[in-house]
Amino acid sequence: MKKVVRPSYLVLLVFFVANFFLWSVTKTIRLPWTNVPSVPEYNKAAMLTLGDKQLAYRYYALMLQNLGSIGGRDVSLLTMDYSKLEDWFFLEHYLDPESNTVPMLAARYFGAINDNDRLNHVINYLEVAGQRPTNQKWRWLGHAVFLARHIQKDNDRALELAYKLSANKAPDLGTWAKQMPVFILNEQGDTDLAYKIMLNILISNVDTMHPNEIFYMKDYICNTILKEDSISVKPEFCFEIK
Amino acid sequence: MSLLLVRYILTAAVRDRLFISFILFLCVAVSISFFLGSAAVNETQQFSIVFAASGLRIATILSLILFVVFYLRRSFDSRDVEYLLSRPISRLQFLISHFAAFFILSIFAAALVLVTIMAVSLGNIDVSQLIWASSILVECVVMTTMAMFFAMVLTSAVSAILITMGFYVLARLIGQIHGIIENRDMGEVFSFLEKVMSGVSIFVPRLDLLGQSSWLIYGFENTINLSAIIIQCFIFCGLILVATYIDLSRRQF
Repeated sequence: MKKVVRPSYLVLLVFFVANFFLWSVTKTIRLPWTNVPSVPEYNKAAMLTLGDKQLAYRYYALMLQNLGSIGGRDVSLLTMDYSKLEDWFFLEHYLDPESNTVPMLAARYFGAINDNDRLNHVINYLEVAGQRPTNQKWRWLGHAVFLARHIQKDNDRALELAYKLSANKAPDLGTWAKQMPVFILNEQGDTDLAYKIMLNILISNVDTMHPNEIFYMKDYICNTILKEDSISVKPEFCFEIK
Repeated sequence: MSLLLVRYILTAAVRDRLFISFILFLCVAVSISFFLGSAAVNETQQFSIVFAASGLRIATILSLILFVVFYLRRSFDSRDVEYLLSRPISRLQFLISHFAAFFILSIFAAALVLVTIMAVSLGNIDVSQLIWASSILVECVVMTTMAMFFAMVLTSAVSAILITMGFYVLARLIGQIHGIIENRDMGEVFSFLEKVMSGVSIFVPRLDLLGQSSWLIYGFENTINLSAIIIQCFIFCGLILVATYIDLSRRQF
């Protein structure tokens, strides 16, 4: 008995072949990378999450973390638009000024480049985020000083940031953070001011500091700041330190 | 209020597998939250808590709306309502019994969400979680009341669900819309629309101020006068209940 091929099977085959052909054409198509997306307005940023600012913060933080690295694509930080990134950082700061997620991303991920122009955007953000006296945010200002001083080699900017860091009102502000302007002033050659600030910190905090910290400060004054001076002009405590 | 009718509605919820579906919903939402949270480079627990809280909030509202609308429309379509009203029960009792049953369901849902959030927080139990869950309960009560209203007024279940969800989105965004209206001079063209939105907002409770997931991370700070917002929500429920009663009392069966 002769088998009859139904027309519907033929139509199915035609659609299958056409679908296979189009699949082979479209499977390699990728959406182009359009660089850092524009930032929504502050008062509209939480609309996506139905008014929940914290959820918006977390959602955008994950987006920033994976920016350019989705769908098998990897984008160099050097090609990213850092001015838009700075806008994102400040939007995130508006949504949640307490969290350390975005400051960490800005400092350790987006700040890990050797490009002074781009780093300026990161430092501008860390400068603001690090001035909050809560949740150990001062550490990010400390990182901004590091970036300005050691990566950008811009001591003036580093000193400006260091003064802001040392003026932070956080109760847990590290002693090294208070001393930060001293290190930069000393490097700039302004040893008189560096000496005065260091001595002032030592006198004001001698009752509360650990003996090791006190010893370190005395050593820094005697053997680093005043290393060019003769022994006769050095303070008395320098005689105790070799 | 008829306790028998309340039990009848709660039994319908059990038969509709509402409780089991809701628990499954919670498991899926928490699993996804843990997955997304673990993808973050730091503060992974905070990420998980925020994603879980927001996911559970939406899941709770969606579950309750779907149950309320489909249950009520089914009752109308199968003439259960006519049968119930032929018994010695007034229309007001009928309405209050439904409200009470949906209130109990909301308490159940909010309690489950609270327990889940406590579990996601890995034992870091705080009074802020209780305040957060209480405000989610208020949100559930408002939305079940709205769903009941639309399910009784409209004849299509799909329309009732879409409009209730639309109302929910509007209630969650009304604060943002107010902010845009107050801080932007849109010019003459938009001034009419601004007045329309301001008028509409009279009938929209501020659900955007309830259940802030930041309370679960940094603790509750009463900077928004939460008690006033909760009272506003209950007054709004009263308004909707009265409107529903008027519609029900005028209905010819």
